[in-house]
Amino acid sequence: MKIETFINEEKKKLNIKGYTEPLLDVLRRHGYIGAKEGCRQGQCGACVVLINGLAVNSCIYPAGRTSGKKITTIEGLGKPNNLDKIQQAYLETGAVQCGYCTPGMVLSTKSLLDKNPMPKDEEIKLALDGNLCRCTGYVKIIDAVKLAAKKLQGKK
Amino acid sequence: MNNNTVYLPKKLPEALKILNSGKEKILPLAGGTTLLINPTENASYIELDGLNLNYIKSDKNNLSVGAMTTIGQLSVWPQAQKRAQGEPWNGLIRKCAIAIASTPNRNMITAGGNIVGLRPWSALPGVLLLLDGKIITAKGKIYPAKEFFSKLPKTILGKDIVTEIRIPLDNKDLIGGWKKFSLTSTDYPILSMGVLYKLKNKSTIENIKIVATGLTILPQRFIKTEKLLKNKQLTANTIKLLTKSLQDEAVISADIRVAKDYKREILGAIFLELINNKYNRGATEVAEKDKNK
Repeated sequence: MKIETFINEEKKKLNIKGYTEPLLDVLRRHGYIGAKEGCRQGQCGACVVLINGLAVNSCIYPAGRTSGKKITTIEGLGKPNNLDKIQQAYLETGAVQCGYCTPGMVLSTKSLLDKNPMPKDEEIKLALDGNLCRCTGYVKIIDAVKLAAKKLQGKK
Repeated sequence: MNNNTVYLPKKLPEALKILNSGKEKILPLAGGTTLLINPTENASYIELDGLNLNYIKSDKNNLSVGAMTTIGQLSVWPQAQKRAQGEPWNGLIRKCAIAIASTPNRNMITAGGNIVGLRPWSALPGVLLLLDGKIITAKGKIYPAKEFFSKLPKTILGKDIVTEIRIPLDNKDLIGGWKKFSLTSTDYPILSMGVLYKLKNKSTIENIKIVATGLTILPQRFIKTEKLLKNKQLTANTIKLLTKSLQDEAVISADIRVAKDYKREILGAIFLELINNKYNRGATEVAEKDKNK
């Protein structure tokens, strides 16, 4: 089965093994390996990508449903030598430890800040409540979101 | 990966026709959060995503929510609508919505799926019972929430599809509260509870509705306790007696995580918390939100 979708603003034709193949598998097979496999139960957020700007767990998202929609993966944000402001904020605050949860965290942060440029602590916690960090670096992650908000507003 | 066949109708009548074709076991596919984890064997699905059932509309009488509206959209709706401010029960809908799962899953779980699936995290049925909501179907049927949740919704629906939930907006004077009790904020609730009431003379309850979810598969209303509360002044003593009545009235199914008595105790504690918040409009988070303004 073939679907047409937009990944990181590029039109893509994807081969999928059926409407219900998990989006995570399709993305990784097509080279978008920033989305990580964690629990495969929609519980950990390691596989979070954005669909039309909203964070979803790609491990439980039927790939067929992305037809005509806009997918944003971590590869769509920045490059190693040209980081996005959110990625830069994570780096500067030391919010990255093992890094496995980071793509999902960064994308959830992007989804939040696109809609709410200066979130309060409670709003940050709510937006990131589906992203688990097993290194438990949550304090610095919240700091990173606040710094990213300032950077995006041109205040840092 | 499972190999379930998925039909992709473009219009609702087409979806109904497929559902009623009788050829095979066919299930409507709403948010799809359980599809890849726990697919129904030998079933085909009808994709509802393309049927324009994703909307939130309000007029002076009703709030209408399309069945494919996500819980994430519901959770931000009252904030997006200035007119909703000052209507305390709107805090109830938001509190209920953010108590369901986590943000990435709330962006998938739909209003329709939450009320039909009756999963452990289904909180919306409780809120619909509190607010006298109605459930509208593709065949044009309109079920009051009380009727829709009297049995398993799938049994009541048969080969029909939920298209909309509708909540009357004429009950602005009501005070509401919703509380989820779980091990972590995103965990499945051990139980959830909601109250909606109207006060007269600041401390006498004119009317009250009490609902809990997570005690049995179906949401539960506490009619006996509600009757006892009517026209009662809220003194410490009456609240104590009524908490006991509520605990006695509760029907609790076995739960592998906790004992029935534990749930009964928690039920009482949450009721006390919700009812004691009467002067800050019932919902703690609404009061906190106001405080932060």
